[in-house]
Amino acid sequence: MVGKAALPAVVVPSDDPVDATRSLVRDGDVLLVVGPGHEPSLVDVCRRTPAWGVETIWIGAGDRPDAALADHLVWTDDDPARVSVDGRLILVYHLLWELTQVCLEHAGRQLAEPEPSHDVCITCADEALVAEVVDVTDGAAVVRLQGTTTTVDTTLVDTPRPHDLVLVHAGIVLSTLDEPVAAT
Amino acid sequence: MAEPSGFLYPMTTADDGASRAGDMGDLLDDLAASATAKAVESATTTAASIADHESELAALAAGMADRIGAGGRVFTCGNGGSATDAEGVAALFREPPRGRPVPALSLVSDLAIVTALANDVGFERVFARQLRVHARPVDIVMGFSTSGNSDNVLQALRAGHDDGLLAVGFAGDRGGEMAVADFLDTCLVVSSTSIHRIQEAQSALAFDLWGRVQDLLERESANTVHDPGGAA
Repeated sequence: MVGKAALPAVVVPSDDPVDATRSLVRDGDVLLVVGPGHEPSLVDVCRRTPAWGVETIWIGAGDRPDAALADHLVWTDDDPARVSVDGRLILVYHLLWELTQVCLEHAGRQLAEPEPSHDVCITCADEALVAEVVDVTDGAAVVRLQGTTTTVDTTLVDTPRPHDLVLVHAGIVLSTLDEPVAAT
Repeated sequence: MAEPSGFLYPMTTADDGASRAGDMGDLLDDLAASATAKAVESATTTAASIADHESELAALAAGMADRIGAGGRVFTCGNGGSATDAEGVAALFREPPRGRPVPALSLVSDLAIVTALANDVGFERVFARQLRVHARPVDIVMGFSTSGNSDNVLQALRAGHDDGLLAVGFAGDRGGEMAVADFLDTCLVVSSTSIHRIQEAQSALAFDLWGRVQDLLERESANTVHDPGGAA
């Protein structure tokens, strides 16, 4: 808009949102999802965002997605057939843009990131992270993990395929995640 | 846009002075208060727009239902956010949550056509040229422009009117050129100077209009067996 900061934003082509988003996003990007909570392609995109290092905001109405799929849900329980076309979902993304511009105009007083609570060592605490396989070699795989690319050991599991989601702990793939189940 | 349009973008200015001196907690409070105020303004603007245009909406719905009953289709167009809204309205008619699906096409959807016409003919003709090819006199064209001054939308509405279509303009602020155009059957003006509030209210107006059209189509289906030979 005239007089406001131009922000780098792109519409993800919707014919194959998973492939398109994978190509577009980089570590630190924000993905704004607008759509039904159980749309399989949207669910599949969102379950991959931790591997890509992407923060997600999901706007919608009606049945909610699994809360773990998005960092922020902006949701109304009103009739989705109505609010998606009568201007009310449009209001939500308009507000996000307007408030983002307010924050940018207060440069130097940006809101601080919440402190990550790493009192516990991830490796020692048995915490496994979701990663997306980029390429596979003998006994190892290159994966996207929390927004960075790294090589992990795959000797404990059947050889994964590119784009599979795997659980990684201490540099080792512990398991391959199943395909998302539609309409949970 | 060729003309000064800064007056259409006041949405964040009200927050500037009040919060600049505050700390981070104050900024969060300001953001929350601002979001609430804007949401209330959106709802108020929307309700007022529908109430102010009650008689126009009723008459327009009757005209649209007549044409749709006679095989008419709906074409929509707009630029930027209004292009998104135009696509949404076309999809609403084509794939409705209830009632009869109505053939509807957004003139912004075909990127190859839009860029070809913009490159070869001129951006002001990207919608009118498509309409001239596709439309028949029984059809309807709906153009969305927050200023009421978008040249390519105005040209589409004029071309539609000249070809016998029902031409409907959605504008904002004081209606711009749409408000004084002699080629519009109906002009629905959202009385606001905020681009975003105008777009939200325009979508609500279009949704209200769609509901009225569906009610009339249902009544028609219940009362009569339509004579397919009656198309204009």
